[in-house]
Amino acid sequence: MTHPLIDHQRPTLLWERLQPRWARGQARSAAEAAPTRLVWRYASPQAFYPLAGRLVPWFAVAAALLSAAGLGLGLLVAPTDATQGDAYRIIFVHVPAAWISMVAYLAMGFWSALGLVFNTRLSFLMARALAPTGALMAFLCLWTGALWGKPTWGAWWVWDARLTSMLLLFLLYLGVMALQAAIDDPARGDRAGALLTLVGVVNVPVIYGSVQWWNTLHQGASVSFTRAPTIATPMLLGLLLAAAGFWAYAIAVVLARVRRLIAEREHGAAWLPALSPSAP
Amino acid sequence: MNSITSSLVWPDLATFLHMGGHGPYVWGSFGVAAVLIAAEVFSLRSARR
Repeated sequence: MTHPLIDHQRPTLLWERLQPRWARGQARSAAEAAPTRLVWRYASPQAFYPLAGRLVPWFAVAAALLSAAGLGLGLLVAPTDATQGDAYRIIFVHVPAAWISMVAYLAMGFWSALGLVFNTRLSFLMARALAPTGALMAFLCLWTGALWGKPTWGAWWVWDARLTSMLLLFLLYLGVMALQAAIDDPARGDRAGALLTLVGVVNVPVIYGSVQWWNTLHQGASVSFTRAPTIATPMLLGLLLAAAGFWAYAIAVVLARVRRLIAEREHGAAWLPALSPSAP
Repeated sequence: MNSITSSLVWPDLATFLHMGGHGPYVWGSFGVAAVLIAAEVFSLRSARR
């Protein structure tokens, strides 16, 4: 009995016995299948590959427009900050990069957990596709943070809770990518990377809470879910637009990368269109 | 057009680039971000064959 979502060449593992019958590829009733059909349809690389291809240009255009609006507002319209001068304008790259690096890691953890529990091929590929973009955003956050720290704190770097936990996030990304790359068998690389990812998930709430839990040099959040914003309207609008633009960018890049990973992994599969730049 | 220029905070290009003395920090941040993003897009496009 074969099932399109499951790689049957892998050994059966303990947690696979915990899966629902339909995920193991066994016969399922129509009533059981109906509510989950749409989700699981796109859990198959074969169905997701063209869908991702259609989504990439939309997210790319949204990324360009939103980033241009946000950065234009931030650099040209937002007033100079009373205490930090114009160095604060680094916020329009720093904060979106920080948000994305943290949420991308949580997403990587989500896909890793899903892959480990259900053994779905696409989940691991999503986790792999997220890592380089997450690492890039974490690096950008650290880099822009250093360039912001020097004029405002007088130091490029301090071993403070917020900065150190952010550095750990960057190193976790690099570690996961190195581990995946070091293992020749893709299925084993997927699982090892997923386990390391899940171990590191605990770091994300630590980053988020670090400015409240410890006495840090890093300033508290300027934008919060629970308080009214404490910054001027063009600053806030520019920041939110830039963040939305970075989000759209990250989604476009990750979808493009997952298509490349699907094409590599499923190389030779009959459904895969001959890979050319014009292929949908 | 007049309303657009009057909403800008910078009187001229030199002041804009100077960023109140913080130019190297601000442009170092935006510049590296632009370079890395361009590199990521380029590497994905060139890998797609």
